[in-house]
Amino acid sequence: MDKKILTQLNTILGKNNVQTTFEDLICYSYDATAGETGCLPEAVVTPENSQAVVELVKLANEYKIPLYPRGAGTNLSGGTIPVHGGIVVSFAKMNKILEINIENLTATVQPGVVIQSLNEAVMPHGLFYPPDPGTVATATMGGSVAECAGGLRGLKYGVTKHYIMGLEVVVPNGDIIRVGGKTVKNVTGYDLTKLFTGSEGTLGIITEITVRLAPAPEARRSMMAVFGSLDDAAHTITGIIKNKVIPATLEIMDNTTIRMVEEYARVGLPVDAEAVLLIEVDGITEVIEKEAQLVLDVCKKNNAQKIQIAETDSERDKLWAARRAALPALSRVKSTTILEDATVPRSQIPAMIRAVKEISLKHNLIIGTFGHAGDGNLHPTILCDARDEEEMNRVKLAVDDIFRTAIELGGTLSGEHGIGSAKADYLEWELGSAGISVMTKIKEALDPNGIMNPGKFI
Amino acid sequence: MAAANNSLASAENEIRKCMKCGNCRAVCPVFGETGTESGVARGKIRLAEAIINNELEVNPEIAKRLDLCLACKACATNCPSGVRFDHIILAAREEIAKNRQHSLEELAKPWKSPLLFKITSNRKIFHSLLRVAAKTQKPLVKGQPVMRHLPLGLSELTSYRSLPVISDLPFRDIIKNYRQEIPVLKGKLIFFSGCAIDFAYPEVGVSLVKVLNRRGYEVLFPQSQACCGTPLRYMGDINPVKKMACENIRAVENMLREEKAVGVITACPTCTGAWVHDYPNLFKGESEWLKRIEYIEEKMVEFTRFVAANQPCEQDKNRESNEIKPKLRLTYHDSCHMKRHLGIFNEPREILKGLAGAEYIEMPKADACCGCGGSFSLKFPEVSAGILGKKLSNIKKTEADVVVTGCPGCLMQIKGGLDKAGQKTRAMHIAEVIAGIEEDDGNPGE
Repeated sequence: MDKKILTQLNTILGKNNVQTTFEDLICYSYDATAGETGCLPEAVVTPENSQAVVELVKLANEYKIPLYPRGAGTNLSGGTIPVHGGIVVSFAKMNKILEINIENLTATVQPGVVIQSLNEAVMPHGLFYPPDPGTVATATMGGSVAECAGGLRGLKYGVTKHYIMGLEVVVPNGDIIRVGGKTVKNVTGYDLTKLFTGSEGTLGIITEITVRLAPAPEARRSMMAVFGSLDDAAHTITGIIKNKVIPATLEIMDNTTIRMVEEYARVGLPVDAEAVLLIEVDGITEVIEKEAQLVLDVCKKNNAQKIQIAETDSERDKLWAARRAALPALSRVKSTTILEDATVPRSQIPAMIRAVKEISLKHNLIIGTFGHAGDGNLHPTILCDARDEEEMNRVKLAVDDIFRTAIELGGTLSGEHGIGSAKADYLEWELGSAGISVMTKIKEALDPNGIMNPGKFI
Repeated sequence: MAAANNSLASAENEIRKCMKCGNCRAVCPVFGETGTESGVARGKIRLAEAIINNELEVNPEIAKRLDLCLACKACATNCPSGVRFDHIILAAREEIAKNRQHSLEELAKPWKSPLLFKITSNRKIFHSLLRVAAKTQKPLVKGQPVMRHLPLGLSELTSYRSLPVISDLPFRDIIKNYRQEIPVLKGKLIFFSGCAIDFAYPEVGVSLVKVLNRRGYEVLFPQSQACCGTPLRYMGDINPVKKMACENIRAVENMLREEKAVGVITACPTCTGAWVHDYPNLFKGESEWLKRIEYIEEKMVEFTRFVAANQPCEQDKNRESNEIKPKLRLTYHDSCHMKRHLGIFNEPREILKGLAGAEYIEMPKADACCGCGGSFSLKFPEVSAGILGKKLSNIKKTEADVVVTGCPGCLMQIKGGLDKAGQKTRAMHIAEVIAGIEEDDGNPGE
């Protein structure tokens, strides 16, 4: 890194907040995305406040240095991997919860706050922050906003973008803006809050987040239903919704996943079942009793071979152990695990699962599908070996087929993981050249020097 | 991948399992302090890969980052891919030890590197030095029961916790003249104490003898036992460790045979781990030695496990009726080696919950590391202090009279930390607590 620039970085951030040692840089050249190799950044910085970020962005814009904002680096689309040298901006030191406002049901946090920490802080007040990606214990608020993280509760509670009320953002020319706020309604100007949410760090750097909190449900009831036919499971899903029950969680596991989970965790799943559904209703006790009964009836009506209802917390944990074991079980089969995120409308779930099965046979690959049946967000998971070039070629073809199928079924490339660098090539399939053109114009207008997370989806 | 160096080759399979999911960040006590990728398993695995791939040469920068690990196994226990990170970090340190260049800091402060710890491999010299230190420490101790302030360059060692005084009379001397009172002799047990109990906390050894005597067992102490070798093992310096293992195996098997002892007791989970996990690995392929190790391991039992299975027939019921005396509030700290390396965590709680006149309170995050990590606390006092601070705060929440542990390392760290912080809770080894309560006055005094 240029000595002059390094000196300025030290001045802006403080010497102990600038790392340039090879051994440190190498630890920021990857994230949780499988099979994506990044390059070394030129520096990793840890700003302690918004003003430091402002000065940093001004410097980067002047010298056209790429910036890669980073929380925990647990995203699955290559969003935090440096691609052209540049500076990784880690929010490890901006990790304070600034305010919890019970009256207004809001909380204001710095981007480095781990999602679980926010929940732990608001739980004593009978509140919670609903978006729950699998990485709640590690992922940061900043990252989850930039990626618009999803989670298991998506069907009933929505996703991250439904909970972001306001942001403080440093835009590429070094200006700092505050968008949105603590009011329930706000239609002042363009909805910039929504623009930056899910922008994957390509339009600006988020330095403060105000979120909406929800009353925590007082009770919940979980059950697991096993099906000998995929169609029965699919009809159960639609049947539940038809009965006006919106479960907090409605998860599915296909036969491949079931077999792997049973081999790894031995939770007692029948290995010839075509699908397993995991359902949880939450809310006021009297209401969930009624909802649970309705769900049970729908399962029975659709030939559920076996239904297990959890009566206690520990029984609930046992049921959920099966779902939680899905990814670990699959990941142990081969050394590389490619977790996709193709999402379809709920009614197309059986078609998608069947298509993935055909794709796995066509390309001779092991693919297990599990995911959020309630909202159509499935995770076809390809088990392979990154060192086997021939296999990886087949994986690429399989991924192409999966995306093509999802779009054909009226779905989308990514429900919650983001596009990043991993899926950038496929963007035009879904958005068309006109859609890409609109996004490009926005990007060029805000970031003419292309310093914000280059090499990603835009 | 470039040709892998021998030590890291053994860990390559584990390294390959890593999905880079980052789950380790949620539980790593070091990461909790540093917030940096190299402070957590995921980053260290990348560094180990870099060594294997020849992306960098072994140098003090990478050595420092790979030293910055407590080997507490919180990551391995929480890893969805089942990566055994403890294997990786030890293999990496072995590789580094081969080419160790000592940084200026290590040369100036020898307790931060394997240089000083090499002394543990020569039993006679090591023990002589400790005896000398017991005498010469007196001006530093100033009549206090612990060392609170070390002078000049050593001051950082007591900045956040006081250190134990090296005992005038180590346990190995005490046991020679100790009169063991055994009501009905069931058998003899050999005690492998480890250095900490021997030289810093002999009273723990004495309590152990009392507890075992009461249950009908005579305790024998092979004088030729040496350091188990863990400090050097964890620094990657494995050659002397094999020699130390041989010494220890000989010391124990000889007495085991001659005295026809029924078992070998350990009260330090680190030493226990050395016997159970490290020694068999050191002698891989050497069937003679492996047989000898197996002969000992078949009879080896950790103290709490033994006591849980050997509770005395008559409990002191008369103490139950003593309603006027307030119950002694006890809480328990799980040592990383005890819980995650040996899988022992139910037995100590069973024992404590069954003690007359005592009330057991579960600590929040009872199994979170105390920050000692043996030599880690000397090398990285600030990180160690931060981790200890969290443990002390959780202890405070229990409002316990005594925090109990089964590990002398944790005892040193927690006891020292409580003393420095001026917290009222006392720290004791479980042997001391049981012995104290089973004594006539029923109050485990210090």
